[in-house]
Amino acid sequence: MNFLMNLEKILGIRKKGVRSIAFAVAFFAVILSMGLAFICLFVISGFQKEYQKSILAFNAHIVLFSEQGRGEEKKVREAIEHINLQTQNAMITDVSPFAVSEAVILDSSGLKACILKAIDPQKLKNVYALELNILDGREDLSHSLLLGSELAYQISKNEIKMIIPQGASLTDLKRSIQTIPLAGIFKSGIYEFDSRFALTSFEMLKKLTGVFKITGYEIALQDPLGAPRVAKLLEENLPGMRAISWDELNSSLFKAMQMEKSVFFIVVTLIFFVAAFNLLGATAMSVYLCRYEISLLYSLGVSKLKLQRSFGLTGFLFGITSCLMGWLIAFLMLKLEDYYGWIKLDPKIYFISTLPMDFGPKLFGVGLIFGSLICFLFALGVAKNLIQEKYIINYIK
Amino acid sequence: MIELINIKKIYKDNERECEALKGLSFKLDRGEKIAVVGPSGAGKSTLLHLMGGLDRPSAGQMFFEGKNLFSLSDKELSKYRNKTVGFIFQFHNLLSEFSALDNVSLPLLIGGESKRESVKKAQGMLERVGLGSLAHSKPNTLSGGEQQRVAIARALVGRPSLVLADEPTGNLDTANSEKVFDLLLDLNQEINMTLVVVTHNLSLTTRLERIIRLSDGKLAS
Repeated sequence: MNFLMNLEKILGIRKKGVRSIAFAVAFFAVILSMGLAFICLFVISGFQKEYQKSILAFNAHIVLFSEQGRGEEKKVREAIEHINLQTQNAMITDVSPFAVSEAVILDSSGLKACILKAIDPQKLKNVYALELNILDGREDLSHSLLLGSELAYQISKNEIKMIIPQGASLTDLKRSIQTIPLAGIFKSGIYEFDSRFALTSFEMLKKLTGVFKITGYEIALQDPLGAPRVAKLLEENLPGMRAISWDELNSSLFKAMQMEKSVFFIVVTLIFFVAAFNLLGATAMSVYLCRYEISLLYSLGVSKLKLQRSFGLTGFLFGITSCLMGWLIAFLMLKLEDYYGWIKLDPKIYFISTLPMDFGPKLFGVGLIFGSLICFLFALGVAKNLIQEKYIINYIK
Repeated sequence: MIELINIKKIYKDNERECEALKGLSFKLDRGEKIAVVGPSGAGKSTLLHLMGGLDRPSAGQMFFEGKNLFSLSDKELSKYRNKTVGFIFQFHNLLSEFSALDNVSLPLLIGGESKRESVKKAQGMLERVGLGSLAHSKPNTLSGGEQQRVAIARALVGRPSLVLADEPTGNLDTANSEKVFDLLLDLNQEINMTLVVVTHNLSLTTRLERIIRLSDGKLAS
């Protein structure tokens, strides 16, 4: 390695390279390409993390659908205890019953359909990770509602009029209009949930619907990624009941994201290759600029392999420098975007309103290794092709 | 010491083939001084490149002290160029960013000698060619004759057994040509090296032991 570094010094690759405007342009292009690739990586990863976080904020890790609607709680708890004994990593940490019903909110602007979800208010913080904004003195959900932030934004009142249309005739509906006070708002970050759901207690749902039937049980796990395995175990232990993991419940969204990820992966790979082809040109130029030194060193006894490796090493250093600078550019640009919020996303389409970003060290490491390796291989490839006897002997006279 | 057997070299340029050497065979003994002469395009430089291990022939064999040179690996061939061969080119090919001393110590450093030892030997060789006082000068501050003497010092500092000089005086005036050639012959005596000189200067060839004439890639006599 030391000798390669000395060889580099002798060849004056960097010095000659910097002198060349074309080389500087290629270097700049590689940095920009790397920066662009890092932006793509950070944003894709940001979307994935944000969606996952938001989905898990509103949905439990597993939803276990009730078979009979009531009287199953003991059976469910026994099955959970049994599974907890069986599993080590994906331990079930909590379970909470829930019930849903369709509802209509009456407002000055018209009717708004919503899904009324009854939960155990005591489990609000254990099973869900929602951002809550509860009005003073209205912490008790027994006689009030928590509206999704987007729904609340459309209504903007401290109480709402609501009807549950199940099996009612139009005359019944008029009579069954109830005024319900609002306890506050919740925000999951996913537009779909925040614009359609209202949370309440079982008592309130019973009061509104006149019947009480459990829809199912929401289950929280220690490790959300173990959900499919635990869901399978639940189904095995509770015949007749259907358990759906959070990723299965949102499979259409994840499938769309997977497709988006695949497209982004192709784009990022192409960007990396554009960068690598820039390097290819820059290395070829370096070899050309150093042709006399290469020939001379070869005649003095430096092996072809050492000369080729020297350019490979330059490519590697070039790759690391470009990756670091590209990362810095991507980081600064996204931080500025985060601060000023220039890009607004339509939550109806993207479910979130701001551009998500994730600067995880794993992404940086992957980008650095991938970028440096490609640069090294491309530089070595060019050097292997150009540093050949047939070219060398032409340069030395 | 060196034996060339039916050496052929064909250059391929797209569809066209050019046969630079057409089955060359001859022998050289240790310490022998020979001149290679011939018109442009006769294959003189190609011959030198092959003898120096810079290039490989299209056909034929070359033995150096019994070893087939072209069966050697890239690493072994580079060792042969470093330890056994000294090249002197028409255009001295000195590295302009390095001093004369650095240029001369380069083959020793490449060969793995310590920097201290390399510098000591390089300084000794520069003194031997009469440039001891200019050891720290950059090549562009030296005259053409001085630059060529630095190039000779660089070629001989490792005490090679074969020195290949391609038009070593081709770029110098008559007075400097004589001086450089005198130096080369003196060192040849001192080191007992085999000297192969490609030249167009016929007056210089008379001072060598043997002349190999090349014409159209073949031995003319």
